[in-house]
Amino acid sequence: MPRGRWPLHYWKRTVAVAVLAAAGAGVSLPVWAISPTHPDNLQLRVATAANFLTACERLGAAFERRSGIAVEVVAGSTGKLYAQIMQGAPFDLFLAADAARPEKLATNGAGLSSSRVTYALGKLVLWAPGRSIAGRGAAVLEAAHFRHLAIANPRTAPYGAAAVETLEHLGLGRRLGPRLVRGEDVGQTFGFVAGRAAELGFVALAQVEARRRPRREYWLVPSTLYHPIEQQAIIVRGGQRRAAARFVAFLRGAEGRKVIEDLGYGVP
Amino acid sequence: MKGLEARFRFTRGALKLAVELALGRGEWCALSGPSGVGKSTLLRCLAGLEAGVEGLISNGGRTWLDSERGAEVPAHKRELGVVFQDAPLLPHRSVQGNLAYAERRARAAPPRAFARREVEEWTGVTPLLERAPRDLSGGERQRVALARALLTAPSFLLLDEPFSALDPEARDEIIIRLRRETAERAVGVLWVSHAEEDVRRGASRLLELVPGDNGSVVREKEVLSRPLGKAVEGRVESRP
Amino acid sequence: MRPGDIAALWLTLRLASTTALLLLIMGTPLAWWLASTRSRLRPLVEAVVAMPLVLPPTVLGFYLLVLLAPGGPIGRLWASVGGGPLVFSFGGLVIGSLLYSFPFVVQPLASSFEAIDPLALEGAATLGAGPVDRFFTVAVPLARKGFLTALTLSFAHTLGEFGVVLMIGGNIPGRTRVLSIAIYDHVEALDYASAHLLSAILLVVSFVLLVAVAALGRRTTRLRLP
Repeated sequence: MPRGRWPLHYWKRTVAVAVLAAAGAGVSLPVWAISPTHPDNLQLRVATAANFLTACERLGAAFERRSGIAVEVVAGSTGKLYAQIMQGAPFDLFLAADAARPEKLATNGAGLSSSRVTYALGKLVLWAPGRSIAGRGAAVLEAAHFRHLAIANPRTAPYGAAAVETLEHLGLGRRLGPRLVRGEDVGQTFGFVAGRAAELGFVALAQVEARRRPRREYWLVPSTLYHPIEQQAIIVRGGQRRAAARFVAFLRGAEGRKVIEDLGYGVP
Repeated sequence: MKGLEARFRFTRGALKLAVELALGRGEWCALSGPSGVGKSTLLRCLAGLEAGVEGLISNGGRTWLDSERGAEVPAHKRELGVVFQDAPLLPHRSVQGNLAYAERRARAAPPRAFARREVEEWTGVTPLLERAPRDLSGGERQRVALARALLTAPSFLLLDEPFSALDPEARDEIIIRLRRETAERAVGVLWVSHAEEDVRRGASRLLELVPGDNGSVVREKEVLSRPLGKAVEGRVESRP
Repeated sequence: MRPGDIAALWLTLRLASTTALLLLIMGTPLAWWLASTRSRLRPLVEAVVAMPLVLPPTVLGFYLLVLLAPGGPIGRLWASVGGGPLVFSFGGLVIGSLLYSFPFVVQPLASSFEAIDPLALEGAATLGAGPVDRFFTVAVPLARKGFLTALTLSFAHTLGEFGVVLMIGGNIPGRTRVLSIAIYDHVEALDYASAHLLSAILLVVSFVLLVAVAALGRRTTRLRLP
């Protein structure tokens, strides 16, 4: 080894090893995080639609206080969670954003059809940050002083389908069609509007309430303009059936309903 | 007419040059010296291929380098023909392509320029025209390199062991012919070579590059008794 | 296959070819500079060029969304010179793709340029070729393989772009709904048949392109022993 400084290739090797070690730690970290603090049979794994995450976590905490069963929540888009459950993902309960996916699970036998129930009703709002549109939503849409109107992808997100329904009912479907931008889910849709990429958009009431937006900024879309957004739950076959059933009962009980309503959903 | 005049210093790593030399138009100078003293580097400095040369270089009165005033003519604008040891031909072009490349950028028109067919013939390059550089032997490559350098119509030729891969007869022929051609066009030649025999055959002046206190210096070794056609007496500075 | 999938395919091809060509134009001078400079800035520039390789595309897309939105700095600048909206537009996708595929052009080109024998370039200079002349008559022909690789890789890479488009595209049919988004949508909507078909198309096209690059690479740089 030459006197003084280390040759370059020594440094390169050290850096390479350090990077690999860090990467290895990073990859395995989530595994550690997932390892349960309770043994398996005292923990419920719930897959929930992204828009219901906050509610689900709150409900899970309350349920644990009451029953001693811990609730582990995994959120994602309904379609992705559906696919994962079909491939055997170890969830016990599925809280979807619509009724279609739970119905499909029941048909496929991956979910217990008798357990399929509506746990919440999504409420659609038109949100225009920085503007006052409460009570005037239809007029605002008609006037069309905007370039982009954000909706969730109607093909895959019930809030998006509801938004399209609303526009059709208002007779604005064709006119505003070219101005629609689609978020992959209502979360991304909210992001488009929040970041002002789109001037306004159809999002969930739960979202604007969670962000404490001023009441004047959004228009509660009358429920006559769209089919109810029924968010349904279904117990996954092969999971912890009894614990899951208890949680569903909790959701539909008085305490659960209060939490759900407080967060901006309707209750069945 | 003034020839190539240079007075410069150059340092790169352990190599130092403190050079003063003058070459006449049409004059053949051979440069010898111990290995590693900087002969090839000297040629590169004259050609403008080294950065950081300090001093004055001029050709025919035109300044190529005046480091004090920050003036420098880049390599491609110096009217030099260069044949460096082991320097590659343009690998993506055939021999013909290489020659055409040079011809298209020639600095002058005939009669001062060299006629292409003629050069091809006496450098022995004619049978090689369609070949790719990587398919040439060492000697063939050197012939092409020489032809190529001539076709740019230079006013001076800088040669660094240009014929090392040619057999003695071939070397003789080429040297004799080259001497004639350069004399006719008043093209000066600075030729680095270790082979004294060749050197004596072609050159009229023998210079030597020797190590000095502040860098290698050029020393006049010998003036040979054979003056060339249109040679001009250049000024010679010898350092003790 | 649903209606609109063909449109997605054409859109994707348009995006990939526009990006690849623009990148060749923009990336070549930078690659040349990287290959020939001795500046101390070089490692810094190389790192910046390589960033899109290591950043999650969604990070890229997220920052682009912030910057290009009508309220963002670039969005505002663009609007002030009379430009249309950059988010939810084909132009915005091109900008995103330029960043996303940038290293796939600059790195192969810079490598190819670096591999050129500097003595060959010097020789050209002594023959009277100036810097621009040398670049076009010596460097470019000798870096042929690099150009091909750059073109093909950036094209293929942009074909598969998803994360960036997801963030700034808005999924507008015919304008920003590229093939990868269409596939994602099909999966979400449980239309696996369409997802399979489109994925297969993308897979085959990418594979063919990569085979072409590999085959061409072999032809121009066969190892020759002295």
